[in-house]
Amino acid sequence: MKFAKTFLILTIVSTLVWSPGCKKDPKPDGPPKTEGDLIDIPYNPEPASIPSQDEYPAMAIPESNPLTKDGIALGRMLFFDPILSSDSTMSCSSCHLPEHSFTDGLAISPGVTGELGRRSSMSLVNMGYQDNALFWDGRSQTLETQALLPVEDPIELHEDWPNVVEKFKNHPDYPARFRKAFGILDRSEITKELAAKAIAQFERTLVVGKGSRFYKVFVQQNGFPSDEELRGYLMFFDASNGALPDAQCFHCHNRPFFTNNQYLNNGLDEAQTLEDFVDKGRGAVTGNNFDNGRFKTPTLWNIALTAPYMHDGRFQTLEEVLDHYASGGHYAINLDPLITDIHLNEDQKADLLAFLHTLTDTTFTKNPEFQNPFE
Amino acid sequence: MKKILLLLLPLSILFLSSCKDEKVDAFGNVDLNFVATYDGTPIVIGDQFNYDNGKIFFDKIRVYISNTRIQTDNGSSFVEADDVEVLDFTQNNTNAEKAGNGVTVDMTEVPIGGYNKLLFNVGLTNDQNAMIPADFPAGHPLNNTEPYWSDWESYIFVTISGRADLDNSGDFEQGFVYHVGGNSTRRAMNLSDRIIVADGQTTSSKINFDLKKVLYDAAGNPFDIASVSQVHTQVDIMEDFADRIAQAFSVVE
Repeated sequence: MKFAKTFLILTIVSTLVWSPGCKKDPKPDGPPKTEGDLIDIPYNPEPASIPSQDEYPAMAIPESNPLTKDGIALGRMLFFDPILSSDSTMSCSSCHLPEHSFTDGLAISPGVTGELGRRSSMSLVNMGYQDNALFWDGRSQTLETQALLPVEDPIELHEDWPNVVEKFKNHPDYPARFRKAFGILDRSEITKELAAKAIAQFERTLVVGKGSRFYKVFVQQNGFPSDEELRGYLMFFDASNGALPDAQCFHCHNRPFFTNNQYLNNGLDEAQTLEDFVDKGRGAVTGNNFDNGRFKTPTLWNIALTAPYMHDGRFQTLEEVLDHYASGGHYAINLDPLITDIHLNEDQKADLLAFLHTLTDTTFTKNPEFQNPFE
Repeated sequence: MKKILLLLLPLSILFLSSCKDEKVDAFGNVDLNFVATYDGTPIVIGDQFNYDNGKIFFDKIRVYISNTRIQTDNGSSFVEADDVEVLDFTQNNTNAEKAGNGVTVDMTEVPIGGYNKLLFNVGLTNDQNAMIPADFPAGHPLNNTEPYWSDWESYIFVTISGRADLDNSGDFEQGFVYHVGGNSTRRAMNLSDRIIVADGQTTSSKINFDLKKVLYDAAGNPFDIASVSQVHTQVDIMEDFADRIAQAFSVVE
């Protein structure tokens, strides 16, 4: 009996002592404990590749950032997620919309504060093939470094990377996705560089062309162009043996990317001296005043979907663009010598327009893999 | 004694085979420094030079060369490892120092000895030119789509462009663009070049590409830039330019 009494007392005491331990731990303040917290999530990177396309050379993929399915998937989410902006209202896709071939349809894009940026949003198609730096002025050498810049630009996403990385670490989904994409062991290993790598992987998949009429008719020679398209083609590439004017287009917009990836002064503004350009463009990056007023030649793929045109969006229509080039542009000492008066009549301009429309690829803009994954 | 002999036999075989392995040829390196000049002065992109009664400057100068090799005194030849090189003076010649240093084609593991000729093609071989950028791996000089004419099925072997102030008014109103390509414009170069390659040493040879010799004929007459401001499809003019370009290369040291 005495034993039973003692046992009862001990049981009560121990129950009282241990009962607080049965309570659920209070939620800790701050980010969850991280050491090795992702290690149980499988890391099985599955290589991805860029589909081949006639005329397209192999894409140079950096060894430090091979394409994987999980990397691309993460990059796509980050690209469309407003988590990258200071007030969670804007993402990369705010200025690079699939339906506009990854431009935004505006002359100059506003940032999160509503303040306008300096230049028009560039199309992101075929970015993985760019081998001569990025942006209108070439201030970034790689997709991986480019992806870092808009986040902290005060007239774009106006956020700071340490804050974005904290948001990733505390996110219910992203730590696991970084693990699957890059094999990190815990969320403390998430960095802005990994985020940029993922975005770069997604951007490398934005390959355009196969669904276009140009690809079908002029590359695969499956079917025939219309008379207008053919005349436009012959003038665009100066391939008529003198029967039609040389519209001078192909020198800077050559196949297969319809850009030469060079920085040129295409005669938009007159400048008596090289210091007279309001926007110095490439010159502000290189420090070489001969580069002042030079901007990167944009691709013409999906050009009919990317109005307005030029680095400052000054031309609303392709007709205005053709009128500009036909006029020979404005003089500056570094005006590209290929910009000359080319005497096109209205019918010839219409033919060129018909050809430019063959470069529209809506299977690209509607590709489900390029759409907003949050919708 | 028999045991000693049995031991010595494998040792001697080992020794003999190791002697064979130790026979190593001696090599050096050769740097071929191609310098774009105008009347002997290295060209900085955008810098002005006298031309006829006015001025001229260049904004793009690029030359593809192929099958570069140096020939030994005894007539055998040593072929450079890369079979095509791009002399991209546009990218290189952004200041006086870079322009003076030129674009270097380096030849490594060149057998030591004396060489007396530098040979290369201005332009690509027929086989190379039959291919398209998509046929080459990323990073290869011919992977670049920019200098490829798809409708002419040729690379642009040589690009020379810029602007001229023909009346010395101060305005460079006259642009010029000379693109040379197509198999018939390839020119085989054979230049006397005394090069001594020593073991483990790098020997340099400087080759000028003088654009004044492209724009002036042998009699000293300037090319009529105003009348022919663009060349990219006219085969006869391109072939004339190819001849002018070929005689503009010279070994200077």
